Order: sequence, then C-alpha cells, then structure tokens
Amino acid sequence: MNTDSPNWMRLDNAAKIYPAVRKRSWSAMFRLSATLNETIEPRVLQTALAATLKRFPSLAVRLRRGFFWYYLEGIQSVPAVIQDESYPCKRMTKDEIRRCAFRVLYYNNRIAVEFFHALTDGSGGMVFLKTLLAEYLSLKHHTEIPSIEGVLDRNMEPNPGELEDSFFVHEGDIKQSRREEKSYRLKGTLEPDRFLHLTAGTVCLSDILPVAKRHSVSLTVLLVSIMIAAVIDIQNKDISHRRRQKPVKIQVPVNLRQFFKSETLRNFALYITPGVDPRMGDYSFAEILKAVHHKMGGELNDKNLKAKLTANVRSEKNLLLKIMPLFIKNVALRTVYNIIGETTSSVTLSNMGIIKLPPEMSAYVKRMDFILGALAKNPYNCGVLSYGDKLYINIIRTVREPVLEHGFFTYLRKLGIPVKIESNRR
Amino acid sequence: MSYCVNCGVELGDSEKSCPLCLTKIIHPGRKIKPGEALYPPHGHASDQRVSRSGIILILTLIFLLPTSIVAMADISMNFSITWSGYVLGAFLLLYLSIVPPIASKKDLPVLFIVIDAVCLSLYLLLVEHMTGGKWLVSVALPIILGIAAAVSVLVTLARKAKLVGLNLFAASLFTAAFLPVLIEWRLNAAYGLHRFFNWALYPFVVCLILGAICLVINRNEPLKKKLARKFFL
Repeated sequence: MNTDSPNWMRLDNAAKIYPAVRKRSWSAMFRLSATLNETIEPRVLQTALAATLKRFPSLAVRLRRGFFWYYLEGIQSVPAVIQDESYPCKRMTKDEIRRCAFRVLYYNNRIAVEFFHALTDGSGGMVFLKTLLAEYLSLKHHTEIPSIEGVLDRNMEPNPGELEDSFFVHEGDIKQSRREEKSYRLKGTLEPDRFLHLTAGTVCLSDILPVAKRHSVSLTVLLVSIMIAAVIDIQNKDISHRRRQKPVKIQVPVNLRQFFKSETLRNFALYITPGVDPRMGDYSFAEILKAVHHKMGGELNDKNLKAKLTANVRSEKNLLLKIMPLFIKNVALRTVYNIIGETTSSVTLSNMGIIKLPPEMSAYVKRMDFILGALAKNPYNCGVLSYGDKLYINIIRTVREPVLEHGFFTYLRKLGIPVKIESNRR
Repeated sequence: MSYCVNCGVELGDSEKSCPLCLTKIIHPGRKIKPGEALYPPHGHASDQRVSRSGIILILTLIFLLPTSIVAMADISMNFSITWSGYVLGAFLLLYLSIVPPIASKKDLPVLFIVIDAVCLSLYLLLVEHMTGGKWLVSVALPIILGIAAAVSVLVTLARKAKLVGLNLFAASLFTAAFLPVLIEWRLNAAYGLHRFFNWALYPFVVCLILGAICLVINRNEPLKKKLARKFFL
C-alpha cells in the first residue's frame, strides 16, 4: 500500500491505557457494522478496503513497542477481509495488533469493522465504516456517492486535523479530580473459552421517543435510567442488606467533538458516570430519571469537560511517568487500572446517536449496529445507535447468565415499548 | 414472528429459545422455517488456553533447574547432601505453596493455608535436624500454628461473613495483637527469658486500640466520610 502517511504516530491521550492493560484473554475492542439488502461480495470489499485505507493513515496502522511508549506504525499491505465468527469483538492477540490493529469482516449481508480501541473511538470508526461502505457500493453498483454525512472523499489527501491528538489541543488551565466512589459490580459465570454472548434488541424510535418525551428527558437519559433500574434490581437480589450495597453507576462515553472544535479521527471521548446510591433508599423510576438528567445536564458542558480532559493530559505530561521505561509504565498503568479502572461503574452504555447516510447509500443499507466489546472485568457492555426509524441496542456479555439483558429489555416492555430480540447462540 | 410467553418480547426468526429467559419457543400447530442467524454458528474452539497441567509442568521444570544444579554442586564437592539441603528444602516449600492452588479446581484457601503451615513446619524440622537445635516444638511450631489459625479465621470471615474494608482491617488488627504475645510466651517458656511479658503487651494494646478505632470509625458514617475526605491520596 503506497500512502503518504507518516511512518509513525504517538498514541493519543486516551489510547495510552489500552495496550498497557491488554491481556492474553482480553483487549479493548469495539465493532461497527452495516447490514445491506444484498449479500456481500468479499472481492469487491477487499478492493474497496484498499482504496479506502489510503484516506485513513491514522487507522491503517499497527501497534509497536518503543522504550518509553507504545507507538503506531503505518502498515505496508492491506489486511485481508475475513469471514465473521460466531461472536463479535473477539480479542486481538499481541501478534494481531502488531500486524494490523483493526479487522474488516463480512457475513451474509453484513460488513463489520472491529478496532482495537487505541486507534480510534466510535465516531472515528464510523467515518471509516461509512467511507468504506461508500467505496464498496460505488464499486458494486457504479454509483456516485457524495462525500456528505460523514463519508470522506477517498481521492483527497488526509487532513492534518484528522490526525491530531485533540486532547492536547484543548488542554485547559484547571484540572478536575478523577476520584469517584466505587460502583456495584455485576457478576456471573465466566465462559471458559471467552465466548462473548450478544443480545441485540431492536426498538422502533416511534415507540420509544414518545416515552422519553413524556418524561421530558433525552433518549440517552431514558436508556441509562432503565439500565440503572435493571442493575438496582440485580443488586437487591444479590445483596439484601442495604448498608452493604453500593452505588449503581453507568459509564456513559461522551463524544468531545460535540463540545470542542475537532476533526480528529482518533480517540476524542471522555466518560461521565451518572447513577444513584440505593443505600439511601428505594428510588422510583421518575427519581432515577431526574438524577441522571441533572447529573448529565450538570456535567456535559465545555468547561467541565475541559477540566476533566486537562487532568488526563497533565497525567501524561508528568515527567516521572514520561521517563519511566515502558515495562515499568505498563505495570504501573495495569495496577492503577485493576484497582480503579472498571470499579467506578457497573456497566458502560454508549449511545452513538442518530447515524445518517447519504440518500444514495441508505437505499442499500437496512441496518447499522454498534457493539462495544466487553471490559476486562465488568461482564456486560452496551452499545446503542439509531438508524432509520429503529434504535439498535447491543448488549454484550462475558458470562453465561443473561441477567442484565433480561432486566433491561423487560423494563422496556414494562414501559410499553415493544422490543425485538436476537442473539448469537453457541 | 415469535414472541416469548414469559418476557413478552418479539424474537428473531433464528431464535430457538428466548435469549433473555431461555424459555423454549413453541409454535402450536404450525411449522416455522428458521431464519438467518445473526452470527455464524460457534463451531470451532477459537481460543487456545494453557491448561493447568501445562502450567504445572513448566513450573516443575523451572524449579528443577536451580535445585538440580545446587544438588549436583553439593554432591560433587561433599559427596553427600550437606548445605544444599537448606536450598532444596526451601525450593520444595516454595513449590508446594505455589502448585497445589494452581492444580486445584476448587477454591479452598483454608486448605492451602494448612498445607503451607505443614510444609513450613517440615522445612523448619529439617533445619532443626541439620543444625542440631531444639526450638521447633517449643517455639516455632506454636507460632506457625497460631499464624495459620489467625489467617484461616480472617480468610473465612472475609469470604463467608463478607467482612470487608475497615471491619476486616479491625479483625486483622485484633488477631495480629495476639501474635507478639504468643511469640514472647513461647520464648519465655523455652529459654526462661522473663517471668512475665516484657515487650509483647505494647503491640498487643496498640493493635487492640487501633482495631477498636477502626470499628468505631466504620460505624460512624459521617466521620468515615470526613476522614476519607481529609486523607484521600
């Protein structure tokens, strides 16, 4: 592959943690997919991938080890598109990440891209998927697809802004403490072969949006509140003694591009963790909605997010951390991650919002999905997006028991919202 | 189109039972053609996991390396096991404290504490035998048994009684308080150092008071939060 990409890149601020905490049994992955009205042709997809990768030098990379930090190096050849497996977001081995840190998969009508999280976040990945899809459809149907709605022009040179580490660009003066109370941890019987169970729920937007409107909250607030209610039910069954219970908090990734001017295709997201403390008493659903609505309303502004972002950037600028050799840094980062990394939330719920495609493309695409891979210890994760008139909710789990999905989707039913459920079965 | 009679959700055409509650789908009086599965079937075991026996074999070989060199060196110099006995015994002790927890499929921490205590006692018996001392039964063995009993109680409390945080720390301090008393008692009895306790009562009292403070703090939620605010790292 002949690109004018820089030969190497530093990892962005958010990406630094992912290679350090990667294990033999787990790596931070996420998947974006599009289901077409027709069967995928692998050869056309391979050609489309080769044409698209030139436009994405920050994604056409592999992970390498330096003495002080990991770094990303441009790949020399286009990776082969592969057939999908029985479960999504399969962990990437060390060797795989060294060769190419993303995959393109196909199955029947579906094209999927899976990224090691150190490369990009959901927004950057979605731009890649849309552009790949546009190239595929133009090759297959000889149609002209305009570069709008997040589709990039494959013939243009990459914009330097797409490659920047926006965390450093938007660093402020004041940093905010990252200290947070621990949250209740969900449990279950781990699958010995690390099989990941996926439960995909489909909801009509025309059914769920009126419910959110009736409660005067956004769709994300509604979904997070339902998730909190489901986790509270599980905790009540697990720990009956109220004083021994823990707060129930949901990690909600925030796309910082909505708050700061950035064109980056690399990671540019932070997290907030709305939740309630059941030790204080029984929360009604209306109270949960109110707590989540106000927590998110209070935290989601550029000033607050800048202070959070600054804390992360300052940590990276710490001279002691900088001069530490990578193998020591890895031990330190891994220890910190094991102690606090996943303990501040019960589950992650990431809503990518409404996905729009150019009309020339949307005629071919019947469904889009966002699947957030499992975390190292927390057994559940949830990825959500809206496409067309549907909301697609994908809950992934590392454990056998479908406890959270049952609680979440039956809660939707209790609110009078019809749900269609599909899954990947062993 | 199928619905779960238990959850009330609509189910995909490829589902054979409800993914949420595992209730089997029944279509009375009609045959349904299965739909396209969301993912390919899980046919092959894609993950290659290292087996327990593999880990034990590797550990055994790692332990064999220094022990065999030490034993060979000792035998070649002295024509018998002399000083290498200490090293071999220490490696055997380390091996027996690491391997059984890996080999066991069950989570039995108290059993492994007992095994460790027995192994340590046997090692000290070897040392006593080789040095010609008489201190195992009178001093070392009661201390080892005391520590093993205390750790077993703490582990059981943490796991069965779900003792966590400051409560667990307080329980650890209470049990630790008795350790210096036990040590001085056995030293006095074996060597006739003092008629009564000389130094052990200081750590005994300090540990008891610190344990009591932890319990008080743990029961006083506002105080706990205030201290956490003042002393966070």
